[in-house]
Amino acid sequence: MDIDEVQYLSENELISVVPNFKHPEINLIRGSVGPFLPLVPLQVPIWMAIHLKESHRCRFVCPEWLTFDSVQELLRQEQQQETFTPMPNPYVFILSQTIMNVALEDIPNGDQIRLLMKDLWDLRLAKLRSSIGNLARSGALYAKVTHLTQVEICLIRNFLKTSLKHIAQLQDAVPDE
Amino acid sequence: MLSVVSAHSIAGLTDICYTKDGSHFLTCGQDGDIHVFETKSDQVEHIRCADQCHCLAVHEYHVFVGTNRNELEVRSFPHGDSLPSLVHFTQPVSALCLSNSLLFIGTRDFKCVMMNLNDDSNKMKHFDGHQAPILSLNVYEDKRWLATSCCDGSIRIFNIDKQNLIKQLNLIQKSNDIETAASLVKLDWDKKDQMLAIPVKNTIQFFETEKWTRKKTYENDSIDEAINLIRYSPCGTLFIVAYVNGQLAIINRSTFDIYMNYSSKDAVCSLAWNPIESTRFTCSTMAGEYAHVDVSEYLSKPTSTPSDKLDLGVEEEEEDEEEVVDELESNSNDVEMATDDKEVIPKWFERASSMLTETKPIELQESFQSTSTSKYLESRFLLWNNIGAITCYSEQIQISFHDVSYHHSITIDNKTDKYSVGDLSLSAIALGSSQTGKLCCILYQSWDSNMKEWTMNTENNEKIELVTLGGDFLAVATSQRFIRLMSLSGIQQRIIRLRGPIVSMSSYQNHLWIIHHSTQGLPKEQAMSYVLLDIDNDHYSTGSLPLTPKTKLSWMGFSDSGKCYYLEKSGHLSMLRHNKGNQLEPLLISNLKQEAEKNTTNYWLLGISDFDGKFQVRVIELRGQSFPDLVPWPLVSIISLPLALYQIDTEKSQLESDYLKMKLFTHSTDEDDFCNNERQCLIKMFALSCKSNREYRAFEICQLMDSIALQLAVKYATKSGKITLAQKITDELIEQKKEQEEKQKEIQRSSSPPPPLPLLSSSITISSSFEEVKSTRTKAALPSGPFTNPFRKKAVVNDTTTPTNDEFSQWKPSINKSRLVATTKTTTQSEIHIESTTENEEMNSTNGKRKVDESEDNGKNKRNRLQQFACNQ
Repeated sequence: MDIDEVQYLSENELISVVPNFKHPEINLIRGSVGPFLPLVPLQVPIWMAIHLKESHRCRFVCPEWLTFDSVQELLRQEQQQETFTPMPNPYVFILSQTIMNVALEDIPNGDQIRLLMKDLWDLRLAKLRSSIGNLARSGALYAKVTHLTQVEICLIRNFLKTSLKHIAQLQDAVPDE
Repeated sequence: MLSVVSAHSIAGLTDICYTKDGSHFLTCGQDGDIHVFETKSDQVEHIRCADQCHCLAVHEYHVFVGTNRNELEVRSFPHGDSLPSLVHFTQPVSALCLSNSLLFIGTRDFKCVMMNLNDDSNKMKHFDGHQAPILSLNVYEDKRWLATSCCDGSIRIFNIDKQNLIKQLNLIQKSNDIETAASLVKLDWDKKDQMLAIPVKNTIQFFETEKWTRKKTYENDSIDEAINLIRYSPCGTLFIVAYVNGQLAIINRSTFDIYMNYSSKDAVCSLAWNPIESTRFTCSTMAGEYAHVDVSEYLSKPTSTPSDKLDLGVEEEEEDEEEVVDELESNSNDVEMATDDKEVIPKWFERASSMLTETKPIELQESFQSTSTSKYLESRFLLWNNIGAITCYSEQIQISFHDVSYHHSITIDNKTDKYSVGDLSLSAIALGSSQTGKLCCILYQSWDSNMKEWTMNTENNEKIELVTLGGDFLAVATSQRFIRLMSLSGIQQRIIRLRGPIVSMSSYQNHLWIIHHSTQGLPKEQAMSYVLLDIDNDHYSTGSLPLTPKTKLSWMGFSDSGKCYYLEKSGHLSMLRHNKGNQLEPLLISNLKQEAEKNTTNYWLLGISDFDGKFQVRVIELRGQSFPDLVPWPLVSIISLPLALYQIDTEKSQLESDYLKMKLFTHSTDEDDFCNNERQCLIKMFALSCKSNREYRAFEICQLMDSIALQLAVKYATKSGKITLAQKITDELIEQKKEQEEKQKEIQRSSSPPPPLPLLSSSITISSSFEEVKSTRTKAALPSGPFTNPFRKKAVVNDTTTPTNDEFSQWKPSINKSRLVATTKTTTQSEIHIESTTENEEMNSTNGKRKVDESEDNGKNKRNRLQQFACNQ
């Protein structure tokens, strides 16, 4: 699974939007959406929300986890803890980017949140790298890592696979003492 | 240890005072809030005032607050409405002292000023000579003395009338500001012994008032900290001393015995005696907390006061002294004149002082358009209704539609016309300007491409107060108390006169509803009346509007079903209900403010929908604001409100509220649906009262039921072992119902040919009844979907007329204009319904019988369902 696939999957998450048109219920494979009534917030899949937003037919309601305060709190917790903290959503980084790209004007303090998100991302990547380093150095058979988001797993999967393979090959090459 | 209660979120100087009647006490703190506590019930009201409040005083219906805005703010008491500020300085007010109607103000810019609140002359008396910010003030009104303590290290005593300095004592420590001062030096007068008590470091020095020499000193050797304040009890037997380290001592006035030592973490910085219970006082600390202290046990001790006799002697001498002072002062008259000349009386002050005189009638509420935000805002909403919103930016007016497929948004330049009121309907936009007197109507859906817009100007100084758009008319309210009715194309129709200045108006199809001020109200209250016009049918009804005490109107309008509602500032939402005599009965529906406070928000009411036995309001939730902002565009929430019944948290009240809602808000044409819902609700209520062993109540509920529900009730009662109740119901109610229904049948038979339905009832088979149930269910399925929005009707119409096409590309603007017509029909239909209820009931009973047959066959099934029903509760 590469990042594009994660992106694709993430767009199946729900988000609430405020439509400015009316339309009866739409029946989709994963469940029906609607009815759409002007000014009445409702939950739609993100791919539909993006489509609607791009055709100026809705406004996004800022999700609870994408407010300035909540992101700041996430960052604070991440800084305090050695291990990974649970994220509100498995696709939090990809989704925040998608939402910001499409509907920055609907997110209060959007620019600041983007910066905070970037900080959070850097922090978690640094943690991830250091923990991989520790794993390789300690020579342990396995390591347990919790609360990783989908993108992060994707990012390290290929690298980890090949590098572990290399290590194994090298260890095989070195004769046992 | 003092048992303190936290009040203000930011630590710092916290001031406290009582109202004269002792019913409330107020605190103000560095977080900029004033808290009004009701002494008896501990109810708190928060008034947001400024960024910081330094000191406050309360005088009858006004609160005076010294804030960081360098002015003495005036708020109405107890509601906290902002009034024009009394006086401006170059620095914040640091000390206030109120004695009867004399208000003394000490500021950080070295000024000390007196104002007479009962006097219309608006004069300020200055007491000059201070060279640093003023720490505290204390007035001895009988002697006309004012003592001030100042950061320059001096205590000054002034004569109030002559405005001259009597004595200056350099005692206290110098400092450069109040924050850095070692102590607050709150001094007090000993009115029994005629002494001035001054906190100096860790001592209290008592100065006799004759020659102003030190008479005695109080000192507690064990405490080295400075004393913040001294305050005598109203009875004069003891005084309170508060230290900077948080200690508080209650001390006998004459013997200096310490009765009690309290300690707290933070220094007590203000203290006020309860004016009713003179044995209690309340103090506030530097941490924004307050505490009540009772000293009655120390007062009961007999204290020999030889000073009573002394008093007389001292007073006599005092008079002599005053004469001397008088002589002295006569010399300084020139100086006094000079200070008088200094007084500049600004215009706003005249206005403020005119408000202060209580003899004048209450200020009448200005006219407003419902859902418009304050006209003092730079960018504001002129209107928000079901169709769209009109917003006014500084030089532009924008009309945006909620459903953009209906019409694109319109922007109008507002530089020259200065439109200040507006309304929006499905076919037109009306804008009016109170300044330029211009009226503009934009027919944005007009088929006539030449006539999209017309304007009109008012004449003879008539100012436009409000405009409103009905289905096919435009109403303009003017300052001359006229309502000018025009057609949408601008044909002037009639001019209706009002009996008072208009407050607000609203329209719905061909109804126009106006609220205006009527006569002088009860003391300090407004009185309002309403006029309800049915323009097409030529009905005119008036009445007075019931209001809760001392409140204002904050919203009025029609609900989606066309009922009149109004909201007061106190949060009470009321409805005018048409009763059988076609009179309007005012009913309290809900308290919006209380509901909002449950979620710690504030609701900005936009509209009400009351279809199908549901009561929902459309609101904007506000957090810490009084008006919604334009950016970001506010989110509308739809909230279902319970009726304002007592104990609404209990299940009993909730069911009662549901039942009442059903009775009040059902206009549905589907009689079956309504009956089912009603039965369901009644059975729930019945089951609940059975479970809680309230048989009498259960019986009363049975009296509201029809025969089908009664059968169920009897079954439930027998099942749950209430044999007597079941017996009573069958004996009294079922017989009675049957008789009634038979009578009705007879009446019907005599008047009209028998309906074909009853014949079926006896010979119906189970299979056919099932089919019937099925068919009724499918019928019911359409309208039973959750109702969320007034646009629903349109959606339903769309469903039926156009084949549903779910593809996005098929979106087309399709608002059904016939909706209006359709809904008018429903109102007339409902009247017909009232007339035809008897017929319907009879039909129901026959239906009922059929269902009973079925129910007996499926007896077990039903019983099970009923039991489940009971369990679910």
